[in-house]
Amino acid sequence: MAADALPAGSIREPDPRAKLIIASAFTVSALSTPALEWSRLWALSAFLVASVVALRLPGPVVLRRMAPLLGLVIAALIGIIVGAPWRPIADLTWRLLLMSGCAVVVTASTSPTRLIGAMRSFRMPHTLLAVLMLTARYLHVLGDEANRSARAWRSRVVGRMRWRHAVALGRLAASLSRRAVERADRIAWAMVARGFEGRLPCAPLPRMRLPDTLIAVAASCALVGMALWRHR
Amino acid sequence: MDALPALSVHDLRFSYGDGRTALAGITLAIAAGECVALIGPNGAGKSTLLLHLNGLLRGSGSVVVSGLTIGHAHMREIRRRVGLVFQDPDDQLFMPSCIEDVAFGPMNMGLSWTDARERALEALAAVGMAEHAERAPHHLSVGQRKRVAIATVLSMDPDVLALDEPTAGLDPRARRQLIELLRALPQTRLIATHDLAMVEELCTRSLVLDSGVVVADGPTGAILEDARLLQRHGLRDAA
Repeated sequence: MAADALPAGSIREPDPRAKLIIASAFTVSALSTPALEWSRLWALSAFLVASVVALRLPGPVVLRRMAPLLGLVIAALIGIIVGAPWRPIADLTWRLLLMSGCAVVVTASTSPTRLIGAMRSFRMPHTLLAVLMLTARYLHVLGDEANRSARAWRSRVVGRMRWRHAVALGRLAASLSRRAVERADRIAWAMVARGFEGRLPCAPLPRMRLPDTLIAVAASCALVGMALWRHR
Repeated sequence: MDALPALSVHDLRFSYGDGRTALAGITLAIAAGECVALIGPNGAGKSTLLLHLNGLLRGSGSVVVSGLTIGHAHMREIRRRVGLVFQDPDDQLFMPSCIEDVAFGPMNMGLSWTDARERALEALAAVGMAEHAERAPHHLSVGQRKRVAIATVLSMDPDVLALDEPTAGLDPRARRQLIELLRALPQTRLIATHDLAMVEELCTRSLVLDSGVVVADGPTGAILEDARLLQRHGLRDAA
């Protein structure tokens, strides 16, 4: 293993490639489980919760990241409670929830650098990796800009929401988009100024350790096997 | 001058796509090791000039860096020789961690991760940020980000540093630290700024740019004492 490589995987911090393999198997399993096989969907849900516990992810962090998926949870629960005609919808939304939850667990437990490194080792397209890396870096910056603009908007809006307020809000959104594009130009300049020629350099990951490989293979086989196994 | 200038610009002209003329015939030469201030009002063309120094923008006229004329043939070497530090460190620091950002340039130059990392750590140590190597840029203060932004170009071992408003947005302590850092750097420095107090401290020579042309070029003391010149070009209020 190269001495300068990123830290090796461990039980506490599994290799990001192992996580990606398991996440892919989980997604395949969630997609290929037969319709209305609720016991298997519950098993996948339990696997997800167990992953959160095993990775020692703080509950509030996971819940906060899952907050945008609240609509899916409500739709699925309504489907389950209301009964037969809504069950297929509940089934579909629960699968979407599982796959989104899986993405949340992987991203919450892995630094963007290690995740991009793992994706690169699976030969994912460079453009996609560059977009993901820049998104991870600039999400906070854009969020801050949006917050500042929203604060400035609120400080000058008095009373109930009116038509002209809505128009102003729309213009604010357009202005944020324009600023994002201008920032993208400046970032592109900063990259080219330091010799960027289209391929994002990235720190290499060390060799995947045997325990990580075994965990990835075993978990993937179990997940895919569970989805494909047929009764009778 | 017997020695080759570190940077020479001859009759550089550039207009943006909307027809606005940003540079209207700039000619200047900077000797190796010189620290030169580029001052002028907003919209004078300071940032546009800096963008020409490592070929990000290409106007008519010529830009020569240590004997190499900017052109496609030498672009990689030019980008190594001229380190451009942008005004907003959030534009400059685009990687998820400081060490990766500082190693970005050396890796693009073809260095292995091991060598690039070593260079990056040296550059971070030079700006006093070695202990923050693994941190995400958005977790640093503006002053710290500015220092890391300088490290991103120092790691490429440049001959010329072109800095755009390095002290903008800094509190007095961070500003002081940055001035001391810039003072200690051995490279040729061209600093575009409105911070005349910093110019007085750091730069032996100043160029005044207005409407895309160099309107004054001389020792910093003489330029800053010329109140009428400063007023005429928006660098001092008339009151």
